[in-house]
Amino acid sequence: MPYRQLSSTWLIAVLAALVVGCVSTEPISELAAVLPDKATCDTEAGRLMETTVVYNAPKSGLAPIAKLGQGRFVYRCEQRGEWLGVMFPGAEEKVDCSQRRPEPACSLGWIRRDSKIEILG
Amino acid sequence: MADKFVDLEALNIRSAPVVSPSTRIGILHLGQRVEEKGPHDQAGWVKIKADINGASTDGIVKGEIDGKPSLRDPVSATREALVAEAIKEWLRFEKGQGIEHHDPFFKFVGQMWQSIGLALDGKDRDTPWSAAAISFMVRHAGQNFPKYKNFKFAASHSKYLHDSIVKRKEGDTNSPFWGFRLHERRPEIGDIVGKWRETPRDFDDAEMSNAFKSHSDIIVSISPDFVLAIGGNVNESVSITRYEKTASGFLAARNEVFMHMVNQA
Repeated sequence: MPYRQLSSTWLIAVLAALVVGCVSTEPISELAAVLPDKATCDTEAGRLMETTVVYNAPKSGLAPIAKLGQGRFVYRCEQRGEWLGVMFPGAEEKVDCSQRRPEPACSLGWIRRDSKIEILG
Repeated sequence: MADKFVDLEALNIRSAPVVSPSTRIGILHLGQRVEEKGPHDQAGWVKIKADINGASTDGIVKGEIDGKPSLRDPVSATREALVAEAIKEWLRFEKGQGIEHHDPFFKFVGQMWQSIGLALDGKDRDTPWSAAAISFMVRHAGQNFPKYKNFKFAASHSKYLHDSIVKRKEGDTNSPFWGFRLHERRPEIGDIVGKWRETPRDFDDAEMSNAFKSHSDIIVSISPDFVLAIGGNVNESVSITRYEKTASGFLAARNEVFMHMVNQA
């Protein structure tokens, strides 16, 4: 293949990859995860009033890492813009994330800040 | 002869008007019903009949302790029913000594959760159960007084604090409680004290929102300077809290107190 033709093919491929990369959903990866600071999480659980999707970074366009049903318990953590960090136990686990000594830790993630969470107490 | 209720956290009943371990025949608890039989010959003492360890027992008690009358007159049957439920839970939790996550007390917390439809067993320590406790007490008072069944039973105090304000504005006479600002009504036995937690709130906030961290306790005793109120998840138990009154006799806006639910049942 002539050098000039190879070069233009490569350039088109790189541009195409950049364009696709800009508009596609990011894959779930450890590199993409920006989890809330656990130290900011409340020590009291709240209760989700509706099914809520959890993401591993506070931004749009990511694939969800969990879907929590109505009635699941979560702990509010730090806020970033339109996002609220949450800590949550597994589906069949006890609620007590803040009481656990030692680990296993509860999961962390982000939900929309306007998600409906019932305050207990 | 008259029905009375003990109006002190604890009151010794004695065989003779002498303060001595040898004359003490039992200890009466706050809210315990007794029968007053009249004044004793010795001034300052009152003859009563009370249940002591399941037996109806004659004895005498001091009429006043530190200037506060030992016994009070009954209030309305509906108010007494709610106070009786609060006292029952306080006794079930060993007068505030029963720790929430210990056996058998966690089971009682579990009953409170289940009565509002949540499948928690009481062992969870980071799920505040205070509103479930108040809901439990009101629900039980409603067994004989149906107006309590219209209570906004909830896992969050803010739900029924808000509801009581809304119901008052609507003039809903079927509501068991109406929400008032602290300066509007003097507290009475069977009313509920409303408090904020963590973030300061006021009556206007509670009128606007039903979702904020809060607390409430049921008033079980009134004194000139303070009230005693019972609530759940207080010191990890069901415990009594003392709330100060203003010189005019209203609940003081201190210690997070910001509103007052008046019993309409």
